[in-house]
Formats: sequence, C-alpha cells, structure tokens
Amino acid sequence: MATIEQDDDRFGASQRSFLDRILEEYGSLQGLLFLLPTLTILSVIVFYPMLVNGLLLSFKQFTIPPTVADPWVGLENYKYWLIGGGQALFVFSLKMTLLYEFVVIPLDLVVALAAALVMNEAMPARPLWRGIMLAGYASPPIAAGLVFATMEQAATYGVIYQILSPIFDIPAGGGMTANSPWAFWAIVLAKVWRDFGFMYVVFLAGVQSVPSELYEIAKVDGAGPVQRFRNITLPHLRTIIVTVVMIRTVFTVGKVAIPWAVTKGGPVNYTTFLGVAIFKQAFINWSMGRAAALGMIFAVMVVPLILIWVKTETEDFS
Amino acid sequence: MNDESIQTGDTTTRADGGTPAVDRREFDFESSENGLNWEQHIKPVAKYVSLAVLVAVMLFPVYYAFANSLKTPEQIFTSPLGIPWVTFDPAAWSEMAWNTMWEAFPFVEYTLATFIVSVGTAGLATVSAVFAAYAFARLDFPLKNTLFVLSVAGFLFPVVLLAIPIFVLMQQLGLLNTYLGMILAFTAFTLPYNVWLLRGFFEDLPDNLEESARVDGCTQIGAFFRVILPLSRPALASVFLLAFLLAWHNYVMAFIIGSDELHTTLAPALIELKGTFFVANFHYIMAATFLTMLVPMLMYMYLQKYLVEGLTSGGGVKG
Repeated sequence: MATIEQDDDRFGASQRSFLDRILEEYGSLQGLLFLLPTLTILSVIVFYPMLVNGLLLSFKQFTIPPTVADPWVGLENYKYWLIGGGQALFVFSLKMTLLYEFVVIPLDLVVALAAALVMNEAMPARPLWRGIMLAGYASPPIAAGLVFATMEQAATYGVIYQILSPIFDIPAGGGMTANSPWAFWAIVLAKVWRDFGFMYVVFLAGVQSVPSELYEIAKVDGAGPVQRFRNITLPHLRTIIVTVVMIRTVFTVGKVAIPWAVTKGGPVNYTTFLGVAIFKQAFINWSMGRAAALGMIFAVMVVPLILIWVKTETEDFS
Repeated sequence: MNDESIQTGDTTTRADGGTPAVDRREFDFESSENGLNWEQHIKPVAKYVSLAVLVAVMLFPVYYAFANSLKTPEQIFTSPLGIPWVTFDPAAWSEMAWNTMWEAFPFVEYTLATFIVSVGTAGLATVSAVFAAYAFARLDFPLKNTLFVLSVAGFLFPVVLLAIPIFVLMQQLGLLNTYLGMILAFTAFTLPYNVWLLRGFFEDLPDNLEESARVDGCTQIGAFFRVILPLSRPALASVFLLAFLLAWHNYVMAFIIGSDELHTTLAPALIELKGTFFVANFHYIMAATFLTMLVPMLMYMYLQKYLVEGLTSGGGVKG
C-alpha cells in the first residue's frame, strides 16, 4: 500500500479530486462506501422487516383487516401449529414437503446428468440443441405450471392425461390436478421440466472440464462406457453434484409458484407444501400472525442448511 | 424419456451377462467380436434417440401454448395438437386471443409493468452489486468477512419467508401497488447472488491492474471506472440479465406488492386469468402464457453465452 501512495504523490494533490483525497485519508473506509447501496437495500428490505415485522408478527394475533385491540398473544401462534388446531396440517405439509424433495431432486439430477452427457457429444447444430435444453429454465414457473396444468386435465386437450390414463387409473372428473395422488405427480412433472435446466448447465460445464485424455487412456486400458462414466465422469462431478443438490433442496422447499399454478395446493391440502402453506395462510386467509409463526418454524429448519452453504462458500475467503 | 441413455447403458450391460466369451470382464464395447460395437453401433443410436426425446420433451409445452394460442376455443377442444398453419382460420381472426386479449384484459399494461419492473430491478441490482463486489474482492476494510456473509446469506433464503415481513413493510412505507416497491423487493432478492457472482469475477482479474492504472496517472476511482468496469462488461451483462429474469419470473412478491391492475406483472396476471376463466377463455390463457414465456426465451436464445456464464461461474442461481 505504501508504494502505491508514494506513486500517487508524484502526481501531486492538485491532480486528485476532492473525493479521492477523502478516500486517501480514510482509505480503510472506502470499501464501506462502496457497500453502501447494497447494505442499505438489504437492511431496509430484508434484515429490518425480517427481524421486526417477521419476528414480532409471529407473537401477535394479526389478521387483515385487524380484528382485535390488543394483538399480543405470546406463543399462541406457535402453539397453534405445533400442538393446536393447525398441527395436523403442519405435520401433513411437512411430510409432503419431504416427499416432494425426495422425488424432485433425484429426478432433476438424473435428467440433468443425462442431458449434460448427451449434449457433450459431438453432433450437428449442437449449440441449438444445448439452447433448447434451457427452454424450461427460461420460462417463468407460473407459465410452465399453467401449460402443464392444462395438459393434465381430463379433456381432449389434456395431452399428458391422454397418454397416462390408459396405463394408470386417473379419475376423469378433475383429471390429474384435482385428484389426490395425481396432483402431486402433476406438480412434479412441471417442476422437473422447468427446473432441471439449472443443474444441466452446471453439469455440462463440469463434464466439459474433464480432460479428454483420461477417457482415451481408459479406452486403451479396456474400460467400457459404463466404467468410464463411473470411474471418471462421476468422481469428477462429485463436488458439483453435492453443492447443486444442496442449493436446489433449499430452493425447492420454499417455492410456491409451480404448485400454486398447477393445483393451488389442492385437492384440499394434498399439495400444500410448507411454502404454499405459509403463502395460503398469509395471503388467502389473511391470517398473518399464524403465517409468520409458521414462517419462523420453517426458518429454523432451513437456516442450518443455509449456514452450511455460507460456510463452504466463504471458507476460502479471508 | 431422458433416462433413455441410461436405460440403453443398462441393456447393454445385461447383454454382456449373456455373452459367455467376456465373463468376469465388462462387456467389450470396442471389439467387434460381440457383433455390436458400442462406439460404432450403439452409441450413435443412443445419442440421437436421447437427443430427439429430450428436444421433443423440452419443446412440446412451448409448442402447445403457441399452437393453441392461434386457435379458437372450439378448435382447442377438437384439435389441440393441430399445427397452427393448418388449423388457422383467417375468418375467425376476429375472435382469436391475439386479437382480442388486449381489450378483454389489460395485457398492454401488464406487459409494460413487467418490463418496467424487470429493467428497473436489473439496473439497480447491477449498479449496487458492482460496487459491493469490487469492495469485497479488491479492497480492505473493517468487518469485511461479517459484511460479506450478511450480503450473500440471503441467497438461499426462501422468498416466501420474506413475503409477510415485506408486505407489512411496503404497507408502512406506502409502496404497495407501486413499481418502486416491486423493484426494491426484487433487487433485495437478486443482490446476494449478484454480489457473489461479481466478487468471483473481480477476484480473477490480475492483481496489479489498478496499480498500473494509477502509475499511469489514473486516480483510484478513475482506475475503477476506466479499467475495471470496461473489463467486466460480460460479467455485468450476466448479472443484468439474471436480475431481469428474476423479476420477470417472480410470482409471490409481484402478487403481494402489486395487487391492482395497473401494477401487476404478467405472472400474477396469469394466475388471475386461470382462476376466473379456466375453460371458457382457454385461448387467452394459452396466448398470455406464450407471451410470458416468449421474452425470457428470446433473451436466452440471443444471450445464451452470458447467461450460461452467469449460471456456471456462481454454481447456483435463484430461480
């Protein structure tokens, strides 16, 4: 640093602007100045409301429009979800959320990996096909959800229903989206179509970075394609897979748009995953206090995952 | 469908079990003694079959929305898969969605609002993120680590958990039903990822860039604007596009902040349309859905390079 300042002094103070002189004086604070816009936006829009509104609301009986004069109810909202009238919905919703994760994430992974391996092969017009793989990821979740919901209706235009109904016994009244086991799969199809593109892009970059000599050597040693995949490609992608699966797991829990567009959380509460439950409680039933409490319970479950991610991402940073 | 390549792999492995000549070794894919050679016979077929299946599955929903948006509601029932230029009936144009949706619903306003909010978000997020990321990558200051963790931790935080606090905040600030409210909320969601992505980019630039610029007579601020920023154009483009798309795609925040007609983006408008007129105005839903998909898809098509760079360099994106 000292040498830089000396270099700078050769040009004399007159060439430096007022701002630069201030920065020179308070060199160590310059970084904070650069952070000002970001920190202001995050503090006002995220940290302040999360702590003040989010936490306090969860101890209040807060509905829209407000109904009581003294809204403080202590732990009532938490009791409602954990031991009271909302317990059944909370437990069911938690179970369905876990099932959703265990189905969606592995499907995403398999589809994305297959697509990445195919798109890594030499073929004519490859950039075009690579781009088409991102059609799902480019479309808004709501739009993807609506198109799938339409295709899953029991009607002439319900293409997916028409394909699946000879194999499975899907009730014609309501099609896939309004009957209980099928509504779940109706969402899963839309979700995988829309979301796998992210993992695909990351995996494609990973697959491309495997040195091709490794494959050549393996071929000479007589390793077949399955062995080459298992012993070269997979180990190479392992870190990427772990990171991406973690990110997608956390993202998927709180996503509302696709379940909402396909089933609105129905039939009854069958596809009301945790994120959907909070959204419904707050903005359909307008029972904000209870929704905020559910949000806090949810946050307690998600935050450890986030902390693990932050730790792995920042440990190289000092 | 996409398990095609893997299934093919399985089948061939099973085939090897039945071939006594190569027992205890994996199926010898390279030798032609087996009759079938992986490189010459199986792989090309598996490759192009998987490619065809993947491309068909990816394009079908887009085709479905597009084709049905060019049909009358009756045609959607009678020939939902019909190719639009076969089924298209010029005489029925007056009752078609692309002709009447603009008057039947405020789609001009929705589209305009979506553009305003998305461009606003992208601009604000890029400008804020570039300064913060530069500071984290190349400057020293007190509390740097803590501030960095605070700035990026929001990346994985589920948006729905912020919905209630932000709704109450926007009500207190009088920003419900304003573009500014939506822009601020979306910017806050996209910033952690943008800061993280740009920090990685700045860290990869050579260490002595600013020093040489200052030796050449540039001020420190001047070095940032004249040397660092021009070099970062591709990274800035990725950040701008990703922030634009987050705002374009988001449903929950747009729904709670912009509930009146003039300040609603396309995503909540689509849900509204579905709820009110599911079967009768089917063609409207298809047209509006296709419209909502079209802009991000065109952006991906033309700017794939930047977007893919953005997605892969960070290792994750809020989508």
